[in-house]
Amino acid sequence: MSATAQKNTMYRRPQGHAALVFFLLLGVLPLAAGLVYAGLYSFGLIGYLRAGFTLQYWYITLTYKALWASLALSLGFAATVSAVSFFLALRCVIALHPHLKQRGVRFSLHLPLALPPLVAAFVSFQWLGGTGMLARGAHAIGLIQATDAFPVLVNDPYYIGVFVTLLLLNFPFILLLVLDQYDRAGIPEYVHLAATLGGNSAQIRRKVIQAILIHRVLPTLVLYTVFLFGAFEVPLLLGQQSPAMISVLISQKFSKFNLADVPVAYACVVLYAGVLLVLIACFWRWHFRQSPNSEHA
Amino acid sequence: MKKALFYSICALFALPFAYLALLSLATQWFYPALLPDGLTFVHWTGLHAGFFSALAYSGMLALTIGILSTLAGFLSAQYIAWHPWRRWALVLAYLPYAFSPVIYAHCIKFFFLVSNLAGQVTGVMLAQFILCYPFAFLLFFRHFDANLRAMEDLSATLGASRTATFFRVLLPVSKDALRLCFAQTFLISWFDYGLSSVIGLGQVRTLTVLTYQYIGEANTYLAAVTACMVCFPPLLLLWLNQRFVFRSETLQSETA
Repeated sequence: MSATAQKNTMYRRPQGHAALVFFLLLGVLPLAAGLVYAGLYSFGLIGYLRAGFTLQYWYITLTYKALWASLALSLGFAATVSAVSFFLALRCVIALHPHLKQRGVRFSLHLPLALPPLVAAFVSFQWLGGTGMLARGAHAIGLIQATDAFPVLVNDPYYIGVFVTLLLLNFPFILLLVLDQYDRAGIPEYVHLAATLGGNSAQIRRKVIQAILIHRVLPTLVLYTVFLFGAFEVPLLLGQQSPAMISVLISQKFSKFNLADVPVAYACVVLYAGVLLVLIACFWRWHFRQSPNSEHA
Repeated sequence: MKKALFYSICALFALPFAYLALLSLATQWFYPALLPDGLTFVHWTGLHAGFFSALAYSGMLALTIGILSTLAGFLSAQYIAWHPWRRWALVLAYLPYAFSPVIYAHCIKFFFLVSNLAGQVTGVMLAQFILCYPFAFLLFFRHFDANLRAMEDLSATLGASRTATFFRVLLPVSKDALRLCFAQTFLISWFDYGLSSVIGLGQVRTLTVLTYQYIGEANTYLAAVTACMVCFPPLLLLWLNQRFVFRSETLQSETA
């Protein structure tokens, strides 16, 4: 037997236990340890204020109206931005599919990916603020005479500034995603088939294109909603102090000088992780419904 | 009409970059002026040492994190993708990936404080690594599919050793995925504000931390300068990617 063949019989694929341990240690353990620490802190078992097991911080957290308002605001906001981005992207892809394939257009659609949220928030502040570029434009054409006549679009109670910024940041990404799925799913063939079978344009749009794309994009859209749920920089600069989005609220709780707020902040972290787990479970449910036998989808 | 609307939306995406560049060059730009009073390079030439140290910190962190998490993700996903517990590993990787970086930072800050890593560049680097590594893992987990495994098996059947298979089959085939993962993890680190500010305790001033500081101080022109610098590498990456994609498409069409 030659040396190469002998070597080949020794080709053993490692079981991957070492890689799994490495992954668990550096990928999972830090967060798990952080959540256990947060849980213990929130029950008064560790930390500067420890005085034995207590549920008082959890009572404060669960009856803390601003937290529920913040959770509802963050979830509602994330879902709204995702849904609006998706339906706008869907309309754009259906109406403008050939134009979207042009190199220049594709490049401009990638541009917002080069804009970090902090810088996007800064630009929005400069454009939407009372002395911003939009107010200057309105003044130049005689719509307003003074800055206070311009509507409040930054740090406003309706989160208009945050919504516009997140939408402009996320819409191109969703559009590229929908466009990619449009090509991969072979939509034009289905459209031809539906037209041959007598479907009108509205039926083809609603029952063929929209149905296929929603089915294919939904898992990624859920995951995207999860990211938006934890958005920080944009609501920090353009949002309100109360109700604040969940990342901002938790960050505020940790940054305050009141030590009694720290266990409550940790309880909020545990609650946030719980909501996140539910959302990820939803994502998995949809994901495996689409490809039940394979993790490599 | 539809086309005009669409092209104006495309122009809208380029507008922030043009605006930031103009703002960074403005001498004065007060309400209600639509254009700056004049243009100057004084904000760019008058940059202090803090800016260059922030640039160096951001560059070093992003490059190190890009390389380390790409390597770690590639090597670990290669084995875990076919491990009996792979589904659990995949599920577990999603939580740190989806967690808000700033909340994650508050969660793990205690461990960095007791190990004296908070406020240190190494601490921020470690924190960014444990954020980017699950992302790289997820990206490569999908990459190591049945086709790649079959290719690996074929290479072994043809007599290649594990080292030869790794360097002559897996790495060349994974070139695009490696490049994509590096670019993504580089950008996650480069764009990071929440984690760097919490774990860095304000002592590790990256470009994004400096930008936020200038915004807080209402130092608009310097904020625009740092914002331009934050946007520059991703724009360069985009342009290179565009050029590369165009070239490969052209080559493919020529050889077809």
